[in-house]
Amino acid sequence: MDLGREKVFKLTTGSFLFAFFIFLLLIIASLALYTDPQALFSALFSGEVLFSIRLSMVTATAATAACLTVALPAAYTLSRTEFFGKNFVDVILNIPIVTPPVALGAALLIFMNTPLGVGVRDVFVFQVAGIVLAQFTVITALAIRLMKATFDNIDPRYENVARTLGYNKFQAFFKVTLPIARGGIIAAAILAWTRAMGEFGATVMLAGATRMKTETLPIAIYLSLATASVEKAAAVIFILIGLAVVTLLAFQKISGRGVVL
Amino acid sequence: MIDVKGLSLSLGSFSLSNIDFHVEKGGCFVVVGPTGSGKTLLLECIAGLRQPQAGEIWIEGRNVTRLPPESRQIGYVPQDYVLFPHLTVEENVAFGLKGKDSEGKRRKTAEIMDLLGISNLKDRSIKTLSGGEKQRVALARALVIQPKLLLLDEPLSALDMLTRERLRRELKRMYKEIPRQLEITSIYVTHDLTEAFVLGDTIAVLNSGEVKQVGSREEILSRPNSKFVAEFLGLNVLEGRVYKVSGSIVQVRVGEVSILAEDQTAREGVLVLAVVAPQNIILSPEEKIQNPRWCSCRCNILPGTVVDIITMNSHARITVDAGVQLTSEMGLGYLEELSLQIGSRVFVQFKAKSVSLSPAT
Repeated sequence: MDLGREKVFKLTTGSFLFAFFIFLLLIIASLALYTDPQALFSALFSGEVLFSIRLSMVTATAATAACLTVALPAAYTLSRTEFFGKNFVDVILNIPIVTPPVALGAALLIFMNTPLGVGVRDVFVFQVAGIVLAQFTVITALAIRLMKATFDNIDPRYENVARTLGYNKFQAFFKVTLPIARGGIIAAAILAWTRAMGEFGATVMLAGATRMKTETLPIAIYLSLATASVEKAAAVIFILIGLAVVTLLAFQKISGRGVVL
Repeated sequence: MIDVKGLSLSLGSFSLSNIDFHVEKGGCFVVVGPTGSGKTLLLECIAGLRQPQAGEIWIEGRNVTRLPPESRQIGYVPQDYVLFPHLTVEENVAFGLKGKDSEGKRRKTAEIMDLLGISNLKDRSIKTLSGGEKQRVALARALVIQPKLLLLDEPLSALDMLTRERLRRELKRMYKEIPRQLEITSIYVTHDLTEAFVLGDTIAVLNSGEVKQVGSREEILSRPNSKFVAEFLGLNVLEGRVYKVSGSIVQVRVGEVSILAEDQTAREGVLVLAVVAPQNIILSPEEKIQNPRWCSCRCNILPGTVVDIITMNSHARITVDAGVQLTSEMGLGYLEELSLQIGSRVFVQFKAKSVSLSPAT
């Protein structure tokens, strides 16, 4: 390929990147047309938005904590152990990633009406605990995937050497593998938490959209638009975009790369 | 002392079969073999990282076969060292001293780092170390726990050629003298014959998961017991049948060629492997015996044609078709003097005494 053609090739591919980048910027900028700093400020500090922020943070943090408890050992097992039916387990674990969250939420709701789920139905259905369960279901598969990639990149011989130096399997994991995986685990936790903050489909199906009860940030946007309160919706969207930017920057800083799912 | 008795392990299509050897306390036992012969797997079994399906491992009179690695008191230096990247050099070295009080820990770590000349690196990150430095840190980390047995898995293989050549000079001190000074028995695996001969009190040749021969350097070089061992050592191996024995002089028929050898035990009609080291073969442009000291000996002189010349740093290997293919090793100066090329006619000369015979199996 001569230099002229190489330049044309770069310009062509680059223009697609630039066009999409501008498209996203325009969408974000358009929000400003529906609000002004004063309206944004008053919407931000309204009782309803503050409730949504608080509820989203509490539920997302609880869901992330539960998710990490399950995802860490599960990812380690998937990465380090060969067992019968591993491929099948892997496919099932990917279901929450490729299935629309609304379908997952509907499945959870149906489950609560089966003999298996009916005992805990009142704890979760249309309740705050339901938000946590919906978020947990959506983000855990993602966290397992991310953490498995982290463990895959850590040589199992680190643990072998630690064992010859007098550490048992648990000690070797906590003293060697876990500290080496720290960056990857934090990055996975940040992404899982952000995803939980923005979770809508599964939450609305299981916990419903009740103002000042199960009103997370995404549900606040939905309810505001349903009542034509565009300023409030714009304020919440700004909050979520701000959170996303901070998260992605933190992820980049920790993992030294962009987000690749 | 270490005893490995009938150790066997199958892993997919590969298996270690019936491995047996004994290492004296403080000795250096070298396992040498080609890539994929099972050297690392053998070390992992001894370290307790893999459970053998049969056999036993005894360390200083204790059967450790069923013990987990953390209870065996074995120091292990894996290939490419596997130093902990989240710890400094000092923290890596001290890693195995988890039970010691901090003063004792510091003193022991300082002692071993001093012994290996890495005290100046103690605060450095692993990522900033050269290959040679990493090697010393890995050895210090394994030695600090005062193991009964030290396992070394090709410690030089991760280094570039230049560093490897430089470190070969220190090989004996690092992997033989220091462990011996600390009364530690060591098992060193490698695919490199030079390392094996420099370090090994006893050498085992491993191939396809089986120990083919165990012995001293001299025993293995002078009497390889199989075609594989001889070929692995780079020796000429000729398979033939003894057709005449007169006293200690034996005549062996290899294809159309007759070879003279000296052997006290050979019997007529027996199939044998005749082994000659390339260093013991001289090439000459004339039939007259080239080495004056050989005039009183029984010599083999075979006419042939040069079919291959491989030139290395300081020497060359020349293969001659003399009815059988024989390889000679000579200095580059002598090669130049003979002005050999592929197709040159030469006489291959070697003493009957330099041919060792072993039964063909």
